[in-house]
Amino acid sequence: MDRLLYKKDKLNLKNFFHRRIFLKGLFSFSLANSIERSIANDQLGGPYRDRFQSFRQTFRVEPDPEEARRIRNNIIKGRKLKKNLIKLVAPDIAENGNVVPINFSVNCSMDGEDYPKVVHILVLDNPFPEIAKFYFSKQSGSADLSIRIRMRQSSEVIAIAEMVNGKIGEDRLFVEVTIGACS
Amino acid sequence: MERKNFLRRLKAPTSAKKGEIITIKTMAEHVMEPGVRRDPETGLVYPKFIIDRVIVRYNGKKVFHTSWYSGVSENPYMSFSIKVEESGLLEVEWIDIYDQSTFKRAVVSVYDNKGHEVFPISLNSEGE
Repeated sequence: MDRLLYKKDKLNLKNFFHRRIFLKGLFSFSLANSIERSIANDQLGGPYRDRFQSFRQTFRVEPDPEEARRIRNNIIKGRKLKKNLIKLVAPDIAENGNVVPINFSVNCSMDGEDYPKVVHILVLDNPFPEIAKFYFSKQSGSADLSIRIRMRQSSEVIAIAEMVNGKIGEDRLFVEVTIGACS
Repeated sequence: MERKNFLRRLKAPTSAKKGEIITIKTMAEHVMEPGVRRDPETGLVYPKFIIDRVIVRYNGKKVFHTSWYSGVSENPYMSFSIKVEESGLLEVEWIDIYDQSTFKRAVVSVYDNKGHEVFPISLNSEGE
């Protein structure tokens, strides 16, 4: 009999704890939701910005020049741009917007703190202006890279290099597109 | 999902000199669906399906990595360079937004000026 009672008690306790955990979970979920919403509205910026941006992308098709400007300002943060740090190569006229070959190279000796931490590529008039980020290290002998991108309409392509020692440089080119891509 | 989304290509030189900068060409056969296109007949949005990250490792150490968004073209081609000091295994890993990862490997053997191969570990127990 004692044993049975003990078991019953235990079961009740378990149920109680389950409910408590459930309530806790519900509370934290609602809190997380509110934080997510604020990040999605870009009130915080922060590391999660890109993830939510990619989530929103399925619903937004029209290009937004204001957002492109904001993304660029978020990267530069009012720092002074250094000239001739990065060189961007792209065709003047791209026939097919689906495949636009671009190439960039960063002027630096890859030793000490003189190498790029990250290189951003933006296309301003795309509905989703951020295209790629490239994170380099000392062992990548030269920051020289080529890739193919999509462009919806003729617009400016920007490459921004952020160095480890805090310097920042930008290069921009206007590319004319005859047949645009869906991106 | 079609099989063609998982084909990968990696082109790297098989031999190099010590301290040389080698260029590596990679290509992934992938639809890179941006998530904004619609089916012309039904009007349904094709779900987003892109490669998100590419990680490059040399002898297990991360050398270079990228994060891509929907602006990268389909069948993404990328060529980049790394500096090799010792022979080793080059790994390139592509990860898509559903966390499916695929990789390709290549072996690069590095020789010094005398023509001896530079190994990442010394083979003699006594050392050099």
